[in-house]
Amino acid sequence: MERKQLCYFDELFRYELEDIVGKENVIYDHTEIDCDVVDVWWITRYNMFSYNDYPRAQAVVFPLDKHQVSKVVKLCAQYGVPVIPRGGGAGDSGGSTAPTGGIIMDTKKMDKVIALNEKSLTVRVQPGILQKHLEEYLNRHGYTMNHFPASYHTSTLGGFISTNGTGVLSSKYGKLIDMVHQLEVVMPDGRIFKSLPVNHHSAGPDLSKLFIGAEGTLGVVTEALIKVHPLPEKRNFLAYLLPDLKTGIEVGRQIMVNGLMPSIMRLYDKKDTVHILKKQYGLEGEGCFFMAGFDGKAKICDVQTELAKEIFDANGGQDLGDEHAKRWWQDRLKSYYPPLDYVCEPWMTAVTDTVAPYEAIENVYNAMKAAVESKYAAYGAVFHAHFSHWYDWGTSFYPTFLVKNVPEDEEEALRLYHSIITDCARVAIKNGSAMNEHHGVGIRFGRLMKEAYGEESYSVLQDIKNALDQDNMLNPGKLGFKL
Amino acid sequence: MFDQKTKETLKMCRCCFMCRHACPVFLTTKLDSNTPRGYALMLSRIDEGIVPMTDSVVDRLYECTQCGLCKILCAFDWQEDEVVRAGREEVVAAGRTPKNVNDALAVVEADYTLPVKDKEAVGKKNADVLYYGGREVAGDTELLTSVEKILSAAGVDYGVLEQEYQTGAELYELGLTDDAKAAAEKLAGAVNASGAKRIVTSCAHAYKAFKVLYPQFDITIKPRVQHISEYIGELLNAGKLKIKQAADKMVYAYHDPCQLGKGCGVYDAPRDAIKAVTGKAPQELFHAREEAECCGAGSAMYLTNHNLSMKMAERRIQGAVEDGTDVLVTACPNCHKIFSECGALKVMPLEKLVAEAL
Repeated sequence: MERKQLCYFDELFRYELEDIVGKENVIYDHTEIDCDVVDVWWITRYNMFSYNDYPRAQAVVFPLDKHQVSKVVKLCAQYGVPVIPRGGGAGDSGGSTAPTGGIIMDTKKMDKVIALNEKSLTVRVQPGILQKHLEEYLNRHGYTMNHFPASYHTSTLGGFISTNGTGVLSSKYGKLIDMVHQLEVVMPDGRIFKSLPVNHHSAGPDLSKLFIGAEGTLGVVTEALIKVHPLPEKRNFLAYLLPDLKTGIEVGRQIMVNGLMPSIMRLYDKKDTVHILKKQYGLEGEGCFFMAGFDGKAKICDVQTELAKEIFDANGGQDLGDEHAKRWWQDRLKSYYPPLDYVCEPWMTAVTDTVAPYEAIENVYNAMKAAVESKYAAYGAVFHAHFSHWYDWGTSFYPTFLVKNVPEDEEEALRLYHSIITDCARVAIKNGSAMNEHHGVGIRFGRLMKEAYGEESYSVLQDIKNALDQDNMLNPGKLGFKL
Repeated sequence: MFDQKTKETLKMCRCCFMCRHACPVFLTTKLDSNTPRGYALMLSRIDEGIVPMTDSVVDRLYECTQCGLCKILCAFDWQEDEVVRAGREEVVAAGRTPKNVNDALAVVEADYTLPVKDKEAVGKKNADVLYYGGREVAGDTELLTSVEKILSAAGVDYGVLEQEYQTGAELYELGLTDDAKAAAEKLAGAVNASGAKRIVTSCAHAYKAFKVLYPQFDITIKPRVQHISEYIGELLNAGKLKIKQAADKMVYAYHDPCQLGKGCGVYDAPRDAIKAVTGKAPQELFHAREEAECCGAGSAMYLTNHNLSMKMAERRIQGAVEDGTDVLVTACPNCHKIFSECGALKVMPLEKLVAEAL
């Protein structure tokens, strides 16, 4: 007979958990827990295939509604067990992993569409719905949320809210913070908070924004009221080759500040341009590839497209027609499947997206590129980027660094990774940029939050965390919060 | 542990989440260990000697219905379903076939007879058509009666095997590859010995076995192979079946069986037959054709994990109801059996729809 090391509190905790959500919704099975150890953060992928004993949660819990979430959170506070809210678990910063143990609170069984409001164009939804399923529901009724990130197939609405995510149409439709009208959130002490029915008001600060981007550290989102749009009458595409990146950024700026409201705006640096033109479209050319798209009412789209073309032409752009951009739109998720996606390889890679005002963004790009390619040349580090989320005050770029020859020595490999991440973040911070645009900071960048904000400003965020989560049990250690 | 092709698929799939949204088992359980990525992650670590194959992993491996939707939707056609099957082969080779699977084998491997009314058809040699029902049809009197009515109405010279044997397809999916080959040879021998010019089957699994699996095993089926929906289409086109079109205003929808649709690319023949009877094309379910969700009965899961199987079926039925369906027509007796158990929607096999319209 196998001897077990007993812990009375562990057994009682399990009994009480099962009492709240049902036995079938508390999983102690290692096969499930092991799946939740790995997200897209390179560190978790690296550790998954080592012989180390990596950190893991003690259980995965599936609540079915806000009341169960509230009871579980209160129970965990009583037992001193951290709660790590998790949606799709496809983040790239370790945000929904459990490095200090605790339970994973998996929201995927809270996936109902509660109500569609066709007059005010909103939909009330639970957070565990996969984005593709929400979009399918809306499409069947003639609507769309217009949120199409790379993780469209894989991730949940709650995850996008928690990281203030962005999709490829964000230049027109915004980030999640622009799409959320109202949030319902279970607080760390179990209270259920609901923000006001609209987010444009003067009845005090809009507290819904506190939870957007908080990565589950300040509360667990249990319901959201989201903006929707009618399916567009038309979608126009255009693609140009511009002389260089500087010109490309300027063209993008002019399109945005002149109020043309493009939905798709994608500018590729020279390295990415060669890859796209040659490998994907079989074209030869020097310069920077720029795709744009307009959607909505047909007449408006056509005028917007015409005006955008004038800007491209005035800046020395070579018109490549609309076929490439149309094809990109149809196949836009293809590059996230292996073997095109690097995640299938053991290579060291990360995206260090950042966003800055127009006067700063080119400097940030050049400095980050130099930082990676010169300092880490000995490791063969490669850096390429595209600019894909545009505002009328600035833009973001999505850089990927890649090191194929990962050092065999584990300590050297980890040091190299953290060093590149730190250098990229510091370039952003030093040049007036925010160190992440839409993936969230989790653990990966969380330790640099104090640097990004400055000690005094960061202390305000820490004070909010301390006030709302006195026991520090909601996703501890993320966003740079104390462990 | 695994061959190079399997290792390559494991490597590609273990960190990829892109088909999670579609896996019907995941959509029912919401467990990441029930996704193609979950299977690849577990098997990859076992293959690399990092963790052992635990009983829990073995149980998970038998919670896949082998519907193939993951590979259909994959932009690069990674054969995730084959990886699960390869994992099952390892389980069997290690003598660790779980009890629920062993219990199911007793049913799968049992021989049976088709209780046809026309006793002259039993064991008939050199008929134009050999009708192969499959285990589920043998237990479904209504469906079998419908088939006999159709064949008789069309004046078809048909026979059935004196004793039917399993195709081996389920054994193959469950990881018992050698036993599957032996079963396939046995059945192929009986089919070829019948001397029939064509073999017509109601069973989607059998159809795929004859068309895809047997060539893979280098086993030849001499008669021309047709699914009953294809044969009905041929009979209708030749004017051998006279249909009284249904006058009802019911909304008929069609559920694509995985092995017939995704497995063999047969999507239109059943739809054409439904149109011939009802006067209009069946309403398309939201997830249809190659994107149709599995009924839950695949890979013998109806026997190995009836609870999970039923939940998957209920999910599919709920979707059909939300799509406004009044009658769900099926072209696979496994799908028909499990959907009928759900009870929330009228379910009708294609054979019965046609037979009642004669």
